[in-house]
Amino acid sequence: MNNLLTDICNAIIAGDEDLAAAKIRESLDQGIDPETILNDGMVSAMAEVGRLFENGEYFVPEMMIAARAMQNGLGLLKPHLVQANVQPAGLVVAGTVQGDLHDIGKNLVCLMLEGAGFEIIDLGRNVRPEQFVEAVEQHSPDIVALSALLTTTMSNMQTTIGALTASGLRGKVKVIVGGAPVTQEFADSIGADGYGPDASRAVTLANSLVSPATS
Amino acid sequence: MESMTQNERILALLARQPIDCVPFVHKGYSFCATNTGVAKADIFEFPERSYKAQAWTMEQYGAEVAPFYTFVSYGAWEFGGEIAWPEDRWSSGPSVAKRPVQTLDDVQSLALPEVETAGCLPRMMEFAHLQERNNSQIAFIYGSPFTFGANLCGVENFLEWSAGEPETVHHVMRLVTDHLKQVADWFIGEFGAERVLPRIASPTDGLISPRMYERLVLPYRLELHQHVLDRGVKHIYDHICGEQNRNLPLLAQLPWGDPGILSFGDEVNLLDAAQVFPNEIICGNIKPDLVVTGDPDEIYDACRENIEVGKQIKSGFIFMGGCDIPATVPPYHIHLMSKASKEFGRYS
Repeated sequence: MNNLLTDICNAIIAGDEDLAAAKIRESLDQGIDPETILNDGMVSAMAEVGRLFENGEYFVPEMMIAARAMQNGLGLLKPHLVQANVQPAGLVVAGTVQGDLHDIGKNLVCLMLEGAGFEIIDLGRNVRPEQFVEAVEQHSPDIVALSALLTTTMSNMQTTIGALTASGLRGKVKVIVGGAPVTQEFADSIGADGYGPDASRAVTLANSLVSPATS
Repeated sequence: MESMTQNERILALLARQPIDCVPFVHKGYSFCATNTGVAKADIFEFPERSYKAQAWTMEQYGAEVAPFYTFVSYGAWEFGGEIAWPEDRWSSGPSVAKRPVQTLDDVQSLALPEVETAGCLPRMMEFAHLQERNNSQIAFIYGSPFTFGANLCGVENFLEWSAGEPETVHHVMRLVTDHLKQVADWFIGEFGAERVLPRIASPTDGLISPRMYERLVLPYRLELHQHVLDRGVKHIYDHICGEQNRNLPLLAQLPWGDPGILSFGDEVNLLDAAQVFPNEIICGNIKPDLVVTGDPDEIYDACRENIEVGKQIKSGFIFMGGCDIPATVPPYHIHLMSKASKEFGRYS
């Protein structure tokens, strides 16, 4: 791999936002294809960050600064990706369900998904079921990602899935769920398409849902 | 048959003497409000209503450990931010409406608040006087400083700064630690060291690595523990919230009093905890979401298993939820916890 791409990758893994940005600019100046920078320099970095998190070598702070470096780098790269007509890995509508004001888990999942090449529409926190329905109608995402931290609010994941079903949209979108009290068993019981126990595995899950044949 | 009163049992446990059966604490703070027809906000806003709602619920379910005052988003309001009282049917406690810190620069403007007037502190003192009048344990909020730092700066900011701006985190930790020492001095001065119990809960602490914990948290925790113990406080309570298995060896370096009282999330095996903390009272740790959403038979069986494991702990055990049980819990499920503690909690 090109040394610059390795540098970008290492800078993101280390959460060095300034260095990552400098190396991305340098790569663009040298005429490296933006899609190559994205995939070989940045997406691969976040895959490594995910691996380090799953192995217990990285914790939430390290993951967050890496994801911020990635996000900042993406901001620089985006105009070039648009110009080159590079398509995102998929479109995700994400939000913390109604009644729940916690968003750190959801934000981390959004950052990691963005780092994996997904386009994100973040509806924020305390999102009503009808807001998710409106967003699905408006944006036709591949995936709806629902987050809840509280036992009291996780039932609103089921209400949201019910609202998607009632509006005839459920069959058109995959629904994934996650958050501290959520389990695979709960996800199955409410008819979700998948459960992500953490931000890293949410990315693996999302990839498997948008490209089932290759995952 | 129980042969000790609740008060006798708790006093004996703290004195490391034999007790007749496992004490039970349901750990449903805002449940006490819904259980007694009090608004959820009132249990945080109005000390007398809060005390009564807790005392009535304790009486109903035979639960032990005196009513206490807590404030889930502690730190934000006390350092100049704004809070919102819980109004909707899902929220359990006050939430932060405006944080005193939005940016790194804001941290430099933070100042120590006046303990007698800041945030929830006047209410906590009013509550403490109710505890005094009712001859029950007087508890005050005492951390964790890292969790409170995150409350006042925003959890995301604080975690990112923990990795990228450690000096900023040290600055906040210094302020919060100094503030908590002032709180302790106020309560000890008012009621005496022997009457008070510093209560700690540390949900955010589990989100960082042990290496980071050792650098950013442990020195301040050590200072806080030493401060109250030097002043004559006998016991420190900590709810070591969530997944903190990797932090346990570090927490074991802290002095906890004689004995300390440590409650654990369901992520921690109680017997492992007892090995790491052989001299402290171990509390826990039935899975809260099971208590809320589980099938009654399943809940009852899980309580039995939890109590039978806990009874093996030589340093003392209190049966309770692994974290706060939310207000939406079906009351019958709390009854099952109480029933299981009576049926399986007896020491032979």
